[in-house]
Amino acid sequence: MMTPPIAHFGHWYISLPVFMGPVVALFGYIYLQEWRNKRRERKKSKKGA
Amino acid sequence: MKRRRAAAAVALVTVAAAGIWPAAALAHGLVGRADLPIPPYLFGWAASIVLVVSFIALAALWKQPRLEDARERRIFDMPRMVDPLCGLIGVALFGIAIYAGLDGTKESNQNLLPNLVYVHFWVGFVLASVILGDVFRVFNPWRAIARAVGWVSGRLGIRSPLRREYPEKLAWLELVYTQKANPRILVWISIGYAVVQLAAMAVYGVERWTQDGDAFSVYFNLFSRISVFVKRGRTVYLRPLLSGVTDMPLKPGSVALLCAAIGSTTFDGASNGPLWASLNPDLQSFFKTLGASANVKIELAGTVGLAACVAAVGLFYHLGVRGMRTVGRGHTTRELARRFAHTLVPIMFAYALAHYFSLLIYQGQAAGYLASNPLGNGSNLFGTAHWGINYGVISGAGIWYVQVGALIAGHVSGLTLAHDRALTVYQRLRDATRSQYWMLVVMVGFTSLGLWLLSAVRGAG
Repeated sequence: MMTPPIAHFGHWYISLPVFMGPVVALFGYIYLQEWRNKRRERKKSKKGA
Repeated sequence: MKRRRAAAAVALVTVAAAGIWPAAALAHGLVGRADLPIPPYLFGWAASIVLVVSFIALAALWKQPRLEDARERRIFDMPRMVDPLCGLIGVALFGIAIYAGLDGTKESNQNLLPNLVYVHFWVGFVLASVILGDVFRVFNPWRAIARAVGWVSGRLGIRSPLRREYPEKLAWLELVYTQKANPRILVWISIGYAVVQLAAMAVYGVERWTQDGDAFSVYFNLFSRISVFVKRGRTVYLRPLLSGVTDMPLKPGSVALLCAAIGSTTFDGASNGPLWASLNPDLQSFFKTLGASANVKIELAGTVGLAACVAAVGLFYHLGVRGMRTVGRGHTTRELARRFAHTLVPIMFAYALAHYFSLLIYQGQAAGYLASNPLGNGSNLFGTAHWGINYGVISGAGIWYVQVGALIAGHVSGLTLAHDRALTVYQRLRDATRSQYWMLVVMVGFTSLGLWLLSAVRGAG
């Protein structure tokens, strides 16, 4: 009999985000830093003009 | 400047502490598969911290390229007989394996051929290449045959037909093909591969084909670039660890080859875990509705899984490179993808070692009894046919620590190579560091993915 996919779904659905937590956190942090850097540079160039 | 140095000092202490920590955990006498002191995901988080700290340390302390154009030191000259002797051993082993495949039992675990191909050759040479350099080159049986033919025809004064001068399908064979361990089928695949190699050497030249065309030679050569040893002619040189990877020849398809190697190992890990266990039946049912037979539907589902893993790895790397492109000007994504492709080599090794370490440690011992009884017909040539596999040689927890260590070391090596290359690509240290933010995310992603796959297999087992 075929194992219903939902029987295993919970295991990897829960464990994957837990393992990938640092990747998401790091991605968010770097993205935010880059966005702030770009905004600062944009402001600087506006002031210069 | 002071802040940067302080950060680097903290970074180094943390890395050292993280290195000592698993040993301290081992001192508690952990032996069972499930007897880890903390949940596996915390290992993933700890590994991520080690990578971030290594990144900070590199930014603060590694200000000049050190691996590009590193100096090599001559150690010794190999005796002239070593090459032909190793080649002879390679040919002899190939011959014995073929004989076992043709004449031995059909039971794959009692026949020398599948064990020799999938464990000692496919995995053993990876580890040997990283430790000793390009050892496959000297043991390569088809290269040895071709060179011998060239040597004999030279002596006889006739022109040799063998002048001196890709592995995705092979991964499919190992991971997807349902008859992969059947000695009767594997032997004809091995013979076919050897015939193709000899024919190609006749057309393109022995050295040229070995260097660029033979998938296994190319594959093992990539790993050997991590090694501190390199052999040029008969002379063996010592070089800084990883420096050989920086001059990896970049040819069309190099990035795809590396992504395919990592992706196929990823699929091998995933195919033993719960994710694949939940998706595989649906995929097989889908192919069954299209009219596929029992074996074909398994192979088609596996092919889809393998392709998806390779594509996911390629996409992940591509995203890292796209992020890198936002720093500095005048660099295209394609150019950066090629210039940083070598950083995937230590990751490829880390994945291979982490996923196949237990196979090598346990199944590698089968060589003891298979050497005495290669055909599985009850012979006892060396008196070792009664030997078995000692599963107590390393504990489940011990294997886990080796896997975690391999993944961390491989990804820190990848970061180091990427940082070193960035220093030559970008003019300013700040740009070089900023460009690697996204590569750090890629490395942390690969590490977390690798640990998740391994922990899923542990859970399944």
